[in-house]
Formats: sequence, structure tokens, C-alpha cells
Amino acid sequence: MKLLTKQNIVFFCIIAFVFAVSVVSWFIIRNIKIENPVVEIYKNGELTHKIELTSDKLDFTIIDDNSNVIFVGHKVGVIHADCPDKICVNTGFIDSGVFPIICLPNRLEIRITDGENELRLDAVAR
Amino acid sequence: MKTNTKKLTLTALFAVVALIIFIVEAQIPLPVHIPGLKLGLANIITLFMLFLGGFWKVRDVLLVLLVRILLAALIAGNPVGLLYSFTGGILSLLVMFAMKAAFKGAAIPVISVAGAVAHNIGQIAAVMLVWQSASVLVYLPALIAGGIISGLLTGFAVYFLFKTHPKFIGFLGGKNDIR
Repeated sequence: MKLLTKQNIVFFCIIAFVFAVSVVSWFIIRNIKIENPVVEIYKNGELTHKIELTSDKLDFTIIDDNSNVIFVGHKVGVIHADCPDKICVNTGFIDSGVFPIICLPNRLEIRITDGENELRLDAVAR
Repeated sequence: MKTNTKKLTLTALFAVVALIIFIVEAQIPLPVHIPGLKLGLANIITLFMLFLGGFWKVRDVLLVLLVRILLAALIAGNPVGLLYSFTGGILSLLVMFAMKAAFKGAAIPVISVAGAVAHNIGQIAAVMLVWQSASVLVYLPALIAGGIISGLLTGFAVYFLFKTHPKFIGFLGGKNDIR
């Protein structure tokens, strides 16, 4: 039951290297900024809302079927959810980064893009 | 198939302990909120059973894993998350089993880290497949880093359990020749 054999030291070095790479790439990804951000809200894989974040004084909330309350202003975020883990609420508000807000149980995704995707549903966007 | 009563009882006990760990873990707040990231302490049981040896086979580990995931989803009231948990859990077990077989000298924490990272990759792959969206991929580095931390945590927990309780391992029907 030896922990520090030659093989294990190699393994621990690989683990340390992968850890360092992922931490560095995490910080690089975090600093990516999107110009002219557009919020895209996906529900069950369908794009339901598309809102420009640059518009002035745009404060409103969207309530979806699973009572995910989404607030859109200069930032977008989920302020209430009925899912058990509340990850989407705890993610907080996003405005120009590449990290989407995700609610796994309710299949909700809020993405910041530069507005390339077309709205497929006749949902009210503004 | 001949079933050993002691083994049957212990299998049920393992499943219950895994569930209790899951429930206790849910009460521990994490400093970061990343979808799919958690401590994964219930993996201690999977890892422990995998290394018990003796009359404990991989199918027993798989059984306990499936029971735990199913009941945990019901307890947490999150049946939708089942698919992601299953994919992650089974991929994790596969990777740990393959690594254990391929590298005879690999330490428990090393295999645990591989399993934890495989779990998170499996989860994110399942989400990408179901959602038909690659945008969740930006969370991959965080999930890998998180998997390494939690893998080391659970790995050393199991390592010290084996190291300090040889009689207990013998009682459970395990062979005490672990790494």
C-alpha cells in the first residue's frame, strides 16, 4: 500500500498539470467579453426570447412555465426558480461574458451572444 | 445464482450509507455555483466497494451505484437530472474499473480523480447531447478542476479508510491487499 511509487508520482504530476491547465483556461474564458450583447433565452432547446442588452432602461421580468423568473435589465439573471438546486439563481446576473445561465432540471438556458441565431418561435421578444 | 446473506445485507447497507452521504452533502454550501459541480462524496462508497476485492465484484458496485442514483433523484425531487447522473455515474465507474485493471500500482486517489473527472465529462456530454447545444462546454475547465479537487478528497478518504481499518475490511469480506 505505497502511495509514493514512481508510477503514482507520474500520475500526480499529470493531475497537477491538468488542474493548472483547466484553472488557467477557466480564467481566460471568464475574461472573454462579447460586443453588442444579445440575450438569448432557450427553453427546452427552443429559442423563446431574444433581447438586446444595450437598449436603455429595459427592465422587465419573464415568468416561464416552471416558474423561473428571469429579470432583464442591463444584465440578465434568474431571480426565482422552482428547481431544487437553485444553481441558476446562484449564478447571478450576466451581461457580456460567455458563461450561460443554466437550469438543468427545467432545461432553461440563458446565453449571451452577438445575435446570430434567429428566433424560431413567435414569442414576444421585446 | 447463489446469494450470500451477509453480502446481501452489506450491499443494502452500502446503498443506505451512500444515500445518507448524499443527503448530508446536499446541506453543505459550495463557494462557487457551477451547473453540475458538487463534492460527490457519495462516490466514497463506489470507490470503497471497487477496492474491497474478495467476493465484491464490479456488478455489485454497479448495483449500489444505480440504486443510489435512482433514490437520490427521488429524495432530491429532481427526476429530470437522472439521465445526467446516470451517464456521469456509469462513465465514472467504467473509467475507474478500467484504470484499476490497467495500472496495478495506481493509488486510490489517482483512480478517484480519474473517476470524478470522467463523471463530470459524462454529465456535460449528456447535457450537450440532450440540449443539442455546445454552449455548456465553457464550464468544462471548471468541472475538470472541481472534479480533481473532489476526486482527491474522496480518494484520500477511502485510502485512509483502508489503511487504518484492516480488520473492518476483513469483516466486510474484502481482501486487504489494496494499494
